[in-house]
Amino acid sequence: MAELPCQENLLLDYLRRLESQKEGRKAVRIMLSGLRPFNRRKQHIRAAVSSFEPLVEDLRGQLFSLKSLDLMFIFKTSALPQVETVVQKIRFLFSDDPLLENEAGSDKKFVVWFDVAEQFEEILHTVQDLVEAKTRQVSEATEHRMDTRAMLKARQEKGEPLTPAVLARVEQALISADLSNLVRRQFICAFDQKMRPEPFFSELFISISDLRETVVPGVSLTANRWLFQHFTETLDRRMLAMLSKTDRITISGDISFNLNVNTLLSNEFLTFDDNITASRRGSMIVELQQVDIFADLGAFIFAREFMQDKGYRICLDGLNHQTLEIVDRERLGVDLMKIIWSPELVDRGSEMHNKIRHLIHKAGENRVVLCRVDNREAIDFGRSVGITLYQGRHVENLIAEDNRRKDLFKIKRRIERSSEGKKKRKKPLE
Amino acid sequence: MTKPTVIPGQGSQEGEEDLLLKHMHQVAESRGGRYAVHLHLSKLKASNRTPHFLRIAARSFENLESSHDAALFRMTNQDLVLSCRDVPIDEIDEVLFKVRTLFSDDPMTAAQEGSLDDRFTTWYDLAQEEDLANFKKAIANLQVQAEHIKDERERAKKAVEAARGMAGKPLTPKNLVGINQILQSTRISDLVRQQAAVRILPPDHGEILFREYFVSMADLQKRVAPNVNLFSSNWLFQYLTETVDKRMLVIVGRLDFSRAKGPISLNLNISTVLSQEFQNFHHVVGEYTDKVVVEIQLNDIFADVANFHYAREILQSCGYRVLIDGLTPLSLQFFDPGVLMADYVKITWGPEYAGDVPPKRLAEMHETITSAGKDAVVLTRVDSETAIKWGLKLGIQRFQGYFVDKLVERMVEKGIV
Repeated sequence: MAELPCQENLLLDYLRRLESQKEGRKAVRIMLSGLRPFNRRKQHIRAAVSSFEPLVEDLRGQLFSLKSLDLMFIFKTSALPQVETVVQKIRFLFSDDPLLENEAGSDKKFVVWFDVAEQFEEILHTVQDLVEAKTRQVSEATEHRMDTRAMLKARQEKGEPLTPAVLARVEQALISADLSNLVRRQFICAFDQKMRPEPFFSELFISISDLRETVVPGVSLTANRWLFQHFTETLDRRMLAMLSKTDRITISGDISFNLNVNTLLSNEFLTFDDNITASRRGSMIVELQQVDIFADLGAFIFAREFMQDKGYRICLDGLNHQTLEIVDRERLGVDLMKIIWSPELVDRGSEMHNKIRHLIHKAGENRVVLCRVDNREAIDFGRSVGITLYQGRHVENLIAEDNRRKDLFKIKRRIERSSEGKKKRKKPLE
Repeated sequence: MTKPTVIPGQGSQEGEEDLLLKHMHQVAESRGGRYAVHLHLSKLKASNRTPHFLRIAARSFENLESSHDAALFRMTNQDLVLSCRDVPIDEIDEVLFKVRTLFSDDPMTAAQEGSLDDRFTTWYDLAQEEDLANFKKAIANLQVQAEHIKDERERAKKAVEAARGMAGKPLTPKNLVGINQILQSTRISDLVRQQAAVRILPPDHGEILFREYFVSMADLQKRVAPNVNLFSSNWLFQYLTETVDKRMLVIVGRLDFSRAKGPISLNLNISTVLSQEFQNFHHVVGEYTDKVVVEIQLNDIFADVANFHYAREILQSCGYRVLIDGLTPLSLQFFDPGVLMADYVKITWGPEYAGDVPPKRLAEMHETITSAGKDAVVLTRVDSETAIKWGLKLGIQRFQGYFVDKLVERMVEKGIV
């Protein structure tokens, strides 16, 4: 399907044509996207756009109205006084918005001016980014939308969605099932300069995909958020049962595992807690999901105080580039945090990177884990923002590699020693 | 120190109040070094008085009881009374501090331990005659309360049995199957209620912001599952709301939007917004999308923030307005709703916030509300004038709730809406 030229593409095209005659031109970007939603209604945008109309009609400049709602106006330097008047008018229109009220002390600006000749590259990059962002949005759109086509596709790829009837069957089956062979372990590691892993603690979890294959092949357990969330409470109880019988799984070092807040307040957990020694509590980290925390903040706060007082540590699991922007983690009072790796973290630019740096600075050393690390890029990114702890497939590979290296080293030492021994043994014969 | 084990409030003939009195009698001869601490847990807000919270709070004293001459009594009204002899105050303080932190989000624990404002504990030096007399009065008071509560419980139990109300079997995946099926086919249009959100303009004026359409869940339960407590599992209940959403879209879709005077609002799951059913609804609404406000629950947003932003952008670009529901003054301390870029934010009022909130917290809330845009904030479940005053103090002008319904009625009568 042929794509209609959007304003972003037109702007890019216009800039390229301008390259040979960029002298004597300026540009201004009005960041309407930064305004609060109540200031971004259609009539507001229309009002802002129409303020530029006289200038456009006089051929003093070109206006581009972008998908993000931002406006970009490129004009001849001679029109600067008139443009300034227009911008002033628009400012006045939105003077009650926090963006404008706080503009003085912030890097978030409502209006950004450019000199086309001097800042041509900068403008070009900005526009290229906008075009890319738009393409990405389109592809994301097809991912989210659950129309019939999307549902069929999901069914083919992920299996039948979970229904209450299937969930009832699965939960029944789990009451008596031994899940210890489905328990997986992943290490959370730091790395030294030579990229050698140093384990910090390990996470125990029940592999959902393996569980699915064993209990309900062909059903997608995660297809319905709420049913899955309920299902995890059943898994919690199985996990606690397994952890009580440590002979089933050999555990060394500090361990972490996922639980629901509800589970922490249940009789099952109190019994579990009664049966473990105080010193073991100190080696256990309970991971909580943020959906669970925000479902009942009061219960979370209560559970957190209770757990931390007992000596357990609490880890907030599942932060991503979007939730990092929202949650005030300091106030949540958790000991550890896990950020899910995604290339988006890199793409979000310096603002996001500073946010993570700030978070790590506040949280202290070895408090933030980058998880689902599946390639080297993730670790490189993590290092660039000060993350010291990592978890994921790539980390497991590095551990395996390191173990092989150590084994080889041992074998080498043994060979050396045995050949030394042979030499020594030979000596008296001489 | 031993004392008979009794599970409070579970039909023991002798209440803990009586046991406490008996205990006092036993120790009457040797009161030197004996003192009592009364923890007023009954004054905590309701959400902090759930059985598992109280059980955990009581457990905090176990070590003290086993290592010292100390006994804990669990009163029928949920208060705790600790009686002890020669136990170092520091050790008691340590446990009390733990219990206080358990309830750190509660206004009751806001004041410093031992300060004039502290309403969380009362101490009695039982070696002193005056304190002893006061303590006995306190116990007598607790006994009266216990009687009252027992009567109340009895009555409530009967009422529940009669009405087959909210109590009942817990919701499980198994009974969910049937309930969900019934829900899909039962008539529910007669259970749909309306409640206006109003902007209050001084001195005595108001304008209607929107009318929320919702299904009364208590009535719905009676109809589809009289023996099951639909609220016993948060997650399974959420699942049911997905079905309710779809029914509501059809019912609300029958409205004539071209002639509707003001906007309406309805609660939807994000998954519903992205469903075929919503597309059908959108078709019906046509060009009047500005007359529809979509309310989305906070926990739905936290389940998948990316999905929320995606749905929000679709809705807003089509002209719908988006409201975030399910915030409380408590949740405002943990994140700034302004970042979510919704048009409205609904904060649920509770009487527990009427008390003395520390000025610092109040200032922070004020800041959060300003940042969210005070014109965007709606205070809901407003059941009293106190709530409105509380809101106005924070710069909130938009309200919803039973108390507001009465105001609206009056305004309609006077013709000033």
